[in-house]
Amino acid sequence: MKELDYFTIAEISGRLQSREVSPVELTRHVLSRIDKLDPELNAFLEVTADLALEQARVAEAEILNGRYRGPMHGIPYGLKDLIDVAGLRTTCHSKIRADNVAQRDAHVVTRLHEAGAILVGKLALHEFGSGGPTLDLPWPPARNPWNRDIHPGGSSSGSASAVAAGMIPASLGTDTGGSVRNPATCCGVVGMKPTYGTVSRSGVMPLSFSLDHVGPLTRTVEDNAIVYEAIAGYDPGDITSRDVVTKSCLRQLRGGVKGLRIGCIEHFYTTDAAADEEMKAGIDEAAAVLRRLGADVRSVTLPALSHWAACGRAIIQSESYVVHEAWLKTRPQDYCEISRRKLMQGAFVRAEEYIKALQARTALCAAFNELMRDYDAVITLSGLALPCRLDDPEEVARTYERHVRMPFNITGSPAIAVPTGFSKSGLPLGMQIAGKAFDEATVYRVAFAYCEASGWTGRKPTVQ
Amino acid sequence: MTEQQVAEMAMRVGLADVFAQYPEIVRAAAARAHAPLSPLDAVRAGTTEPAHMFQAIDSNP
Repeated sequence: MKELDYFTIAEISGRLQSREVSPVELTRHVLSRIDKLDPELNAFLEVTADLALEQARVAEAEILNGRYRGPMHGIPYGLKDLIDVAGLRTTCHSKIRADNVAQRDAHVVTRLHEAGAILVGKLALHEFGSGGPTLDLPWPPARNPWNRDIHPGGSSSGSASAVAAGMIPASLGTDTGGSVRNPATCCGVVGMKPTYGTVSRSGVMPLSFSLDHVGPLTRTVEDNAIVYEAIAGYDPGDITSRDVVTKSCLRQLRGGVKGLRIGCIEHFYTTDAAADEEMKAGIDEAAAVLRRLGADVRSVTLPALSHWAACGRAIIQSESYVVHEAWLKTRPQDYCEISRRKLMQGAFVRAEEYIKALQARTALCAAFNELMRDYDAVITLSGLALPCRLDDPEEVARTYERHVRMPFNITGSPAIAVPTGFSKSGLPLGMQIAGKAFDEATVYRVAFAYCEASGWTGRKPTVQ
Repeated sequence: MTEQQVAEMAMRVGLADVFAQYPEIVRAAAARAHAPLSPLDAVRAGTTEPAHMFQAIDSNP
């Protein structure tokens, strides 16, 4: 069934609805592809084959009986393993939580279940969404389908690897300082960090309460919008959840960019920090494509990248330490070394530094909101460096912190990572498109127009 | 920071035992957490007037 390799949700959903393809047949194909490819990529921590086939049989019966639920009905997907599914382990890729069995579904899982989607497994991550690729954990790190020796990015590394390799069409990840967009960029897929409050975090292991977001990874922008519309919506179980209409993304997707005002935050990757030349060439070409499509693209200015980085760092250190304090004190040996080092920092952040970071955050958000009064969207780089070798911890640490993603965790605004081409060495390049809070529709519209015109989302790695 | 300073800081935050086990990590964490935060002072320049400071805190706008 070669034709089912790399299927997209948009393509297959019509065939599922018309009964040309059955959910059971599709799920069997996906499970067999995972069986074949995952031993090389380590994207999955657990494959839920029995549950998937059970859900597929239910979906098949419903569709046969004329009860088609929508574009996610019968679609296999995976979850970063810090998202709860009742009766399954949520390990957070950590020895600390290796035996933790979830009692209830996370809200996003309930939504996907209600949409008829089929869970095929739990995906690898950096320990607790914080650590990095390492061998001192119970499971190996995920690998990059474009080059198995190269870092797939993180922390939602398995979520991006599995999608890029065509094992699944969609996954969910979490993003506190770029953990959806970084692996999306490293693996050449599309990763969305939606507006803070649009997608519930209940049932999701936190890292930093006020910066955490849940978002989808897919191979195309249209598929990403389909998953986003399925998971977004109010949840009384998450006190930060907002009751806003988020269902117009697909309707506006093909609206084009003609006449849209798009700011390019160049100084983040030119004067504020040095970026890889090929990364810069990728976004320069992307800006040219958007101009050719009729957008008005202009260089814009925000506070320097170092301000955003310092603000985000103080918040993450403080909030993540609150989550991990008890375990760090009683079971420090059970964390991987990278997590121990990162999470321990929060013990030494003073209250005044955290408060200053919150004050800075308000000023930074005000600057961004002021800018967005005149613009429909902004673009900037995602990573400043190409992904490095997985077995080079010093380079991983160095490149990991060289990025432009934190500003949109601080503002809480929607930001999507899309591919902008490939380096001479064959590694994916990428950029971000960000927008006003709760305006995912415009972000998806710009991303769709660009990706349709550039064609980069159609490339597939050699994985077999 | 001196060894003594790190040890005192570790004790103050309840990490004395962890410091004994992982001195390098605790030392690095203490140093990293105290990396310059001067950008925060720069960016909050307009909100340092005490009477207006309350307006400047929001967990996630």
